[in-house]
Amino acid sequence: MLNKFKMKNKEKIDLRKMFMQPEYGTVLMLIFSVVLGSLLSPYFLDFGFLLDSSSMYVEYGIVALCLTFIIISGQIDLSVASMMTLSACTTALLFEIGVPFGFCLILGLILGMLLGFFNGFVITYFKLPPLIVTIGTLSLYRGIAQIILGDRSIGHFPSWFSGIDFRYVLGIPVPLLILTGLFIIAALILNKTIFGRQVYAIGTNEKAAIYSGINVKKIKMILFVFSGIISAFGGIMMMSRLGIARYNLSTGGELEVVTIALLGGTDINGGRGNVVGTFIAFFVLFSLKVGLSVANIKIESQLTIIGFLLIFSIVFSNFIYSKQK
Amino acid sequence: MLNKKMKIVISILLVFICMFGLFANATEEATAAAAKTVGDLEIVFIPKNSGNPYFDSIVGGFEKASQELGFTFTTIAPATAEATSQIPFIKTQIQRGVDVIAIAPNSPDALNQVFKQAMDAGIKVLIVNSDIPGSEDYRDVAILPMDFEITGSSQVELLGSLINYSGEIAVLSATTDAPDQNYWIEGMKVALKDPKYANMTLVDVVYGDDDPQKSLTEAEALLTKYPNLRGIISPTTVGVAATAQAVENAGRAPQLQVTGLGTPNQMRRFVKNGTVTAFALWSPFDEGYLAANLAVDLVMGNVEAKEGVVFSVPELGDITIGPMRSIITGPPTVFTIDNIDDFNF
Repeated sequence: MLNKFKMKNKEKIDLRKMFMQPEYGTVLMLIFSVVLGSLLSPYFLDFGFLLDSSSMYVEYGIVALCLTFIIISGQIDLSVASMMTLSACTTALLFEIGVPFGFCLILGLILGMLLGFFNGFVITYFKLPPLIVTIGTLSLYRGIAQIILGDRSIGHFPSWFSGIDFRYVLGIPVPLLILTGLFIIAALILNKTIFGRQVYAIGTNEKAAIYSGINVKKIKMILFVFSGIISAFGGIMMMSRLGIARYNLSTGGELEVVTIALLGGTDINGGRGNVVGTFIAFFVLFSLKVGLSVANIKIESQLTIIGFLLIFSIVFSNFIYSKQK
Repeated sequence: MLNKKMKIVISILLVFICMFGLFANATEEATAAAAKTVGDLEIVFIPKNSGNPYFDSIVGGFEKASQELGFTFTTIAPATAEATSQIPFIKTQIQRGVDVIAIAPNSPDALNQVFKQAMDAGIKVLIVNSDIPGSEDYRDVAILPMDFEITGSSQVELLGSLINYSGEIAVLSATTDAPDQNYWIEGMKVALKDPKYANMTLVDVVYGDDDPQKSLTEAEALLTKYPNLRGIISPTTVGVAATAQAVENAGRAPQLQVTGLGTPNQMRRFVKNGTVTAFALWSPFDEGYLAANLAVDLVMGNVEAKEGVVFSVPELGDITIGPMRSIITGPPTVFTIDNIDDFNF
């Protein structure tokens, strides 16, 4: 009896705590952007159209899930968009020289893994700040993509591969399903595994994490390698959607990815955040962009609103975190 | 605890999705088609990027036609001229149900899938200002500013006449994959093989990405790297203004001639102070005006998009649809100190 009462009481407290999560800032923004979109244009609230439009941003959403882990661990990876492009270009180039397409895809993912490994190796082995290293590889990887492909695009992929955004399962576009699936996996890893706890521990206090016996180097390495693989995967999805690969695809995409992660309430200083926020933030960013575009709002105003939301998100999650203390 | 929290968040999302579903039917009745009049037509023009004065002139042409003919005209552009940045804008215009999408594309092929989607939705796709070579099936017609076959060679001839056909020359272009600029540069290289230009050597091609600051930096680098440079051709409006600025800053004006494709308003100062002697351009205003008139004719079924078809545009006269359904607006104009004040765009 007493036990039962205690349980109830505990749940109540949890409920109150629950509403003090930064994800709610993101949910507020989602409500804001959907309301804004539907007020601005009668063409916005069309389920089919919204589903269809989500495919344009899914690649960034997927990469942002992985980046959330990296930011929680107190690191950053700005080379994600370049890894997307380089993997896509290499995959396309292999296809062009006659490698069977299935192998090309696998090799593309392996390349992504190696690119991520290189990032992780330089960061952990030489103890360099990830910001500097990945700004370097941001240019490096895109530069390599431009060297190998030059100023041309490769297309005419097998028909089973092209147009992933036109494939639907149960009425939902495949890219969105992939994003949702990866989100569930990421949420489970981050919240339910020792690995996930270790990621938080590193981001909260790296020294303390080392002293408590966490293999920090290994975990950082795993994170960057995964960032590479997921970026390559995103790059290949983009290639399927556009039907071509060229060196300047997703230029500036790293900022979109970071924006999604931060809109989701992840703390840029590490230790706090969740993929739940990132997943919702994906819908915030995409519904906002679609809503403003379909209302023919000028791009300058669009960027202003997105910038404002980003600031709001950071201030809001900071406020929540300070209350939690 | 976390699990609970996630559950609540996910249920909120689901509620949202259901709300979308409820509203989904609301917009569908709008598609019921009746006989259209010109007044019902909605035409959108998507330039390469926002804040580019060149495209403002094209928009001017569209607006004039819109006032004369009575269709609804809007224009919207992405922030950057990156290869895929126009895709979301095209998708949203399809959703808006416009009748015509006129666009100055940022890539020769990255937009093919979304163009196809637009055409499948019954929208006329008009490429304005630059074609998409090799992807002609993904558009209805292309409206080109001038005969691109002679753009490169006419630039070489113009620069040659300014430097007595001798000396080192360089090119400052837009982005490395700008399809038009690359085509014209090829044309310049072919033209330079002519014995007439035997004493002119092309020493470098650099890219300013149609960004004023980057173009200025690239132009300054050219001036430092090649002290004997006699001429720079910049076949892009942003680039030629930045190059003229760099040459003015360095005080290399009479020996080093800048020419290229620029708008009179951007170049007026440099022509007046002697930095630039002559440059060329077609009329982007006419291009927009022609595109708008043709767009209306195409949607109303007055003109068929087929090679050899002749249609007429007020003030521009009879115009023939050329090979691959491409249309040339007119010959280029050379601007010098004598005539620059006659133009305002």
